[in-house]
Amino acid sequence: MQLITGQLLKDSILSDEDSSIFLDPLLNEEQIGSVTVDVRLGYDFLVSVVTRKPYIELATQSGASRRGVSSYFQETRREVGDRFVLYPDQVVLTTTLEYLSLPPNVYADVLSRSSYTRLGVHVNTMVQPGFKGCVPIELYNHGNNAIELVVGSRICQMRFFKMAEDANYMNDANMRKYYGDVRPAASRADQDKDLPVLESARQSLD
Amino acid sequence: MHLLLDELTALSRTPYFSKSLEQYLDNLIQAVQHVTSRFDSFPSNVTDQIAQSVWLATKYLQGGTSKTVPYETVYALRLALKDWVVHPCAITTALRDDLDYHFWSIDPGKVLEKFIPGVAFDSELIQIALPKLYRHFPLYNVALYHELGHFVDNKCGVISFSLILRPPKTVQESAIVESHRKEHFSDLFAACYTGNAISLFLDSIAHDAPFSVTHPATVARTKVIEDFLSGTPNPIVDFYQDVLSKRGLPELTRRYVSPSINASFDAIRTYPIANDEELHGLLDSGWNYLCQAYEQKNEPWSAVSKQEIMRIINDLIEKSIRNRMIKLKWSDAINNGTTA
Repeated sequence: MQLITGQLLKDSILSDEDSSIFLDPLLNEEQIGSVTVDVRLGYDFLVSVVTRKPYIELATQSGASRRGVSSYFQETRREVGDRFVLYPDQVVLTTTLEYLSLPPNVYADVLSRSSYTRLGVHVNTMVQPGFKGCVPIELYNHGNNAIELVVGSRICQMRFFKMAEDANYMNDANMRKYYGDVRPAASRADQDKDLPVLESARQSLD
Repeated sequence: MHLLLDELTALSRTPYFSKSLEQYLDNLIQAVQHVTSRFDSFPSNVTDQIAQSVWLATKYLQGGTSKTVPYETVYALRLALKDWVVHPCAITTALRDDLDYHFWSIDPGKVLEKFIPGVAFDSELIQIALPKLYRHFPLYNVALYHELGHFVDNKCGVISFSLILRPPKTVQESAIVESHRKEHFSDLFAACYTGNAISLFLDSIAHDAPFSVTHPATVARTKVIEDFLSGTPNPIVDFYQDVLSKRGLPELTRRYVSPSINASFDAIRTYPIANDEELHGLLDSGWNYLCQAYEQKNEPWSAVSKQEIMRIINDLIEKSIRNRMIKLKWSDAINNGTTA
């Protein structure tokens, strides 16, 4: 894998070609640095809430009903420039403001910018080759103080890697769970195909 | 009234309002305070009217604090509203649990202005409501353009004037004529902005709906829309043009441009909307694109379920509209001297 940098990075993002890295809206070309591209905080949020059920249940149990993962999160929307307060120890799901489309031979990492890491907000996400959508960001405030974030601010940075081979994101059933999302989606970990197999394995040991 | 005042005061302290709604709410609170402080001096029928209108407004203003409204759809409707209504409007949006759409004035300011000397509201309070289930499905929200047509009709007296110009032949048919004229006008109004999308939407929700007292048959409605869009002479369209002209109102005309979205949507990318006409026209292009994609003959849709096709295309439309809104806000801020 080769890190895409400098003019090559800029040319790819500003190009209209299908094989380019597509980022929309790019509000300021200065977001494109020599090694990374700054991306902005989106406007849709899923805020984790405490419910009467003491834990989120992921394991499959035949015949048993379970509370849906999305019910542990509350949806809220903002406009660009609005504020969003992130409380200590709170999980909030959001996305980048930008819609990203990656060619099949480009993979990306998303990391919080240093200015936000210093406030206690860490982001560390990877984006599969061929991804389409607003990049999911899982916010968590590790600090002791609530932080007032501004919607549209440059909160993260992305670095892009070119691979030797194409990867077909659309044809991989496991990876289509979050395909084309433009707003945050609650975890679909409970839909992992391995879980029923693991449940059968557990029962076969009895 | 005291309870309503408490409710309005609590609402005014939520951080979730737009500036126009905040201003409206402040005026409303002052007026209601005036009424409660002199409650005994008003006749009971007046306080009843005031209480009812304020109650209704309170209910809908509460919906505006939910922060889950589809800003993209509301933005598009605001643009269309400006073509017809020039006075300032404060819009509150509510998501409903049923499948009902509406766009109407719920203005308690008008009632208060009538009964309390010196009270004046700068803007009209408008309520938009749409099904919660469709909040992220802008293609289904083309129905709100039809509702906006009813709003414009009520505001500008289009159909009431048409009844004077060409009254129903008998008293028995007057209710039917009035209802059907209202529906045809609102269909044509929606077609001015969304083109064939309103026809496709009608067809999807009321494909075989026959003639009824309140609505013409769907086939008759789509025929009028089709003739209007294709420029085929149609007496119903001509009649409305005549009514609008005599009322000094804008004519029914295409106020949209359907953008070529295939290259963007085939690549599952957002479409960069160039202007307001394209923004409305995206709904026309989006419906046509959706119908093609549903056939699942071409990539990238051949292996995607219809449910997912519907979700992804609606998401691309929603995000394309939101990106247009963001870019305009950003460039306005830069043009106003803010440096990035």
